[in-house]
Amino acid sequence: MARDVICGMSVKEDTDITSTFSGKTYYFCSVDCKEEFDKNPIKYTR
Amino acid sequence: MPTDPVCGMYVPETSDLFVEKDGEKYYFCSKSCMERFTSPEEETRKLRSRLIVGWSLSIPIIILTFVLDWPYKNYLLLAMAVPVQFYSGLGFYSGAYHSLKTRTSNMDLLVTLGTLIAFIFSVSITVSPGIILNSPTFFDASAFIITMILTGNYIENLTKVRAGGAARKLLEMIPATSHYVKSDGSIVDGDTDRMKPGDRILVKAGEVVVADGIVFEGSSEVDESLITGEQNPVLKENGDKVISGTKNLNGSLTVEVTNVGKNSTVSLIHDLLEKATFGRSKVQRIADVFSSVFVPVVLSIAAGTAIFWFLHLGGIGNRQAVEVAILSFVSVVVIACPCAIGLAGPITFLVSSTSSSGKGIIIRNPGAFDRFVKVNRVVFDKTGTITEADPSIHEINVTGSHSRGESLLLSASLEKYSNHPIAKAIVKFARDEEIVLYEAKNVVETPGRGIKGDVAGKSVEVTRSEGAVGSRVMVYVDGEPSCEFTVSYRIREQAKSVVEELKRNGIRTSIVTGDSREEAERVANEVGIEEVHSQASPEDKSEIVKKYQMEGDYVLFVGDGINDSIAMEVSDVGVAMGSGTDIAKESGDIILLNNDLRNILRSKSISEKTLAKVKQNLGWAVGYNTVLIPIGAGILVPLTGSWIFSIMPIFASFAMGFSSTSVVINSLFLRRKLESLQ
Repeated sequence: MARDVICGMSVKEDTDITSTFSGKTYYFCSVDCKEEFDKNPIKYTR
Repeated sequence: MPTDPVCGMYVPETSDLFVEKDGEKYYFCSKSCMERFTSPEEETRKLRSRLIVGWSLSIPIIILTFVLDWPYKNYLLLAMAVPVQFYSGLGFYSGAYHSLKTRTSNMDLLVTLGTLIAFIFSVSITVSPGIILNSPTFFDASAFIITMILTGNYIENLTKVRAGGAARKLLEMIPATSHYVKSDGSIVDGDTDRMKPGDRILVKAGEVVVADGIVFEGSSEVDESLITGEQNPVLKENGDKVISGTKNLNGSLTVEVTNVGKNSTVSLIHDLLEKATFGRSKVQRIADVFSSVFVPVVLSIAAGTAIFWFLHLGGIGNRQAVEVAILSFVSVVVIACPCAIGLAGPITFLVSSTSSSGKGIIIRNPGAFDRFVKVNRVVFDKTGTITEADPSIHEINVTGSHSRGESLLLSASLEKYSNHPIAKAIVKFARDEEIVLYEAKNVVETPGRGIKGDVAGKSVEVTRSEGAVGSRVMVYVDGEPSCEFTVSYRIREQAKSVVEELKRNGIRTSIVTGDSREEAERVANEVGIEEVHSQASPEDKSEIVKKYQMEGDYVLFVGDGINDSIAMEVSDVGVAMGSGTDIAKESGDIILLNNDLRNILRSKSISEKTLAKVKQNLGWAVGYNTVLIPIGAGILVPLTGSWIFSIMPIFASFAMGFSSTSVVINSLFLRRKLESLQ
């Protein structure tokens, strides 16, 4: 299980809702969380 | 999976217990949580009557259990325990039923299982004493557990109702009827509910402004303290914005309505305060995960404990094996109820947001507190943030034969017909010098150029100076240059001291503005800001924020919540300098309703203190469960003997109620701390 860095939920790694930043893949529980992440990935990856 | 906004438990989206509010869907683990969310006052009333029944029967049950010696004692206890079990404890059953239906686990399930097992066992002993000879009943335990947990819920609910009371009081202040000004000038009273943007209303002295709007006629001082925290009355004149929920003090104002009802400032503040409890900090998310696995783990421990005692005591021929097994199960599930864990975050955020609103600080996203405490760079927008939002006259240079006073009189008399910010600055400057203005004729305003007309028999023109970028305007009287105004944006009083304080705390500062380098540097030098970015578009501002973040900074952006929304969204914490209006359009994690820059420092303290309190509450709640579960399971039996189980359920319910209550009381200490912030 991966963790959605926006809402903190546990997410299965087979989800289609993902983003890649600095070579690392991030998994999300919803499109809303992915969109929030994509606005500025660095805000959530430090 | 969403979380219950009341208790913080995970709830699957397939749950049929949900409420749609303001375009958002909230899911609940139980009916009682849903009722607490939708109508906390009604829930408080219900809880109170259940609590009265609970306490008025539980105390006699406990006393009679120990002092009464009567053959039909158990029937009497049963008769007294039934109302507590099935009326006072009603809310727990529906919660437990829903929990089983959705295959999740919640606190209600633990309470229901614990008390029902104790109750059913006691009923069996009452009607068939032969099952286990000389076994006592446990009506006292089941009744007392329900009553204690209800007490904790009641205190929690009461705190929430009271904390939300300030915002609700604002809404209640809005009168049901308003004075509508008709197109023929007549005034008709009508329902406030029917008001729409564009209506004109009369607000008399002493009345509350019912809607956001712009003053169309009249002038008066308005008390904005309940909305913006500004303690001094604010003069409102033609063209000024007025905010719903503020109080007109001494004159009559005719206001053209811009936002009303759900969209009005007072209603939006109410909604934001209500939502503030739903924000989740990182530390709280860890607690959420803990809660979601907690209930099944507790049930397993309780079952394991019961089996252990049954086999162990049964193995050595102890006749109390069944009673001890049941009581240890009940004790473990009651002692481990995770209410305090679910309560720790929401109640703290609620207290924090309501205390902050009294200072004109609206917390839209408590989740940003985690990042706020790490902020090491503050990026300020210039206009409206470091400087006033409106320009003012800095200097007048007389260039012709007319005197300073005459030039000012003529130009201000003409400019009062314009709504341009510079025109307003000239009129204000003249009025501050108590100059009585003339009427003008043949007024023609050319956007981007200036205004001309006839004043006191003279032809007057006010126009932008050649070559100047909006900072100088020239006045011509009868075609001759008369005087030149230098216009500038006044730097806010507290700007310098706030920047100094930030630096003392090791926080670096920057300014970004769409203005010229010269103007940006003037302001930066005056207040002591280190880095300057000028001629920046809204997109440039967000790129500058990202650049700082790439360098490792945690960036707080302070700006105009509407024009700087992109920069505010990408920054780690966005603080919007609100003017008290247009909250709906504002972005940002925190909105400052007044223009007091010191609220940035106060917001930082609020974040630090709130987060520390959430951690403290969670630490207490988790620690409490960790320590007491082994006691509930009987770790002290080698020291005390198995008799300890006869009082364990009552001890467990005390500990459980104390745990929740202490979290609530601890959070209330935060209010005192926040309200004393300077």
